[in-house]
Amino acid sequence: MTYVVLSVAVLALIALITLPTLRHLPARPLVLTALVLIALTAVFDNVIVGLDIVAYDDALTSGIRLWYAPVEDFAYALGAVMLIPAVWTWLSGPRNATRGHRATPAHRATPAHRATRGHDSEPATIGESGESAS
Amino acid sequence: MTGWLYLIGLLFGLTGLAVLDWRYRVALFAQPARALGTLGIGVAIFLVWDMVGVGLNIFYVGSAAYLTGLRVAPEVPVEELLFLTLLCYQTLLLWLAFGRHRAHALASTR
Repeated sequence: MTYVVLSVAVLALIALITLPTLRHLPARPLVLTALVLIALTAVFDNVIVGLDIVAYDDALTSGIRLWYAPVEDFAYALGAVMLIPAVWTWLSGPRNATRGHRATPAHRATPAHRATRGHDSEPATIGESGESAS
Repeated sequence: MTGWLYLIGLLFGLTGLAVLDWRYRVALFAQPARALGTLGIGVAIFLVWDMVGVGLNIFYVGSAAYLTGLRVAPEVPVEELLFLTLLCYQTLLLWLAFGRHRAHALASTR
């Protein structure tokens, strides 16, 4: 059970740090990313565990496995889904940070600002100001 | 030769992601500094997580038939570094792509 405890503890720590940021982001991209990552992990982890690239001390895992993959390994996918979007958002720089999370999409609202970005800029992507439009 | 298979597989995956990123200008090819920072911090945190797991003897390097044997730390093969990079890069691309798709959908309803 040591691996379960480690996984839950690390996920809790990551959640504690990232949730204040993540709750301001649109849920849909996060949920979809989590689902795809879990599916990819199920495939990838079974390959690397099945090929004996990584091994586990069975006394320290829960023993619950999806085929070869210990269920605890899915914590990496969940950790990544919380961590990576949060870090990307933190690294937005002062330009976005000063607008605050709830700012309306300024580059749509003000033509002057829009001009500085160029008309060919992508529609608001995550991490740009449009992220909290809903 | 088989010792390089996992490493080659990981590099193959990373290259595929980079090509998609380049083609659609998602992360590294849209905001390089921000993407590198995100991946660097992400990989560093996962490495600490790995080291704790290794320290607790939970997981260790397998029979190594498909590993190069190069280590970045005890029980942490160089392949793990690439795997963590792949995981973080994959996550970043998926999330940004889903967000962009959503932004397009929102824009088209206006």
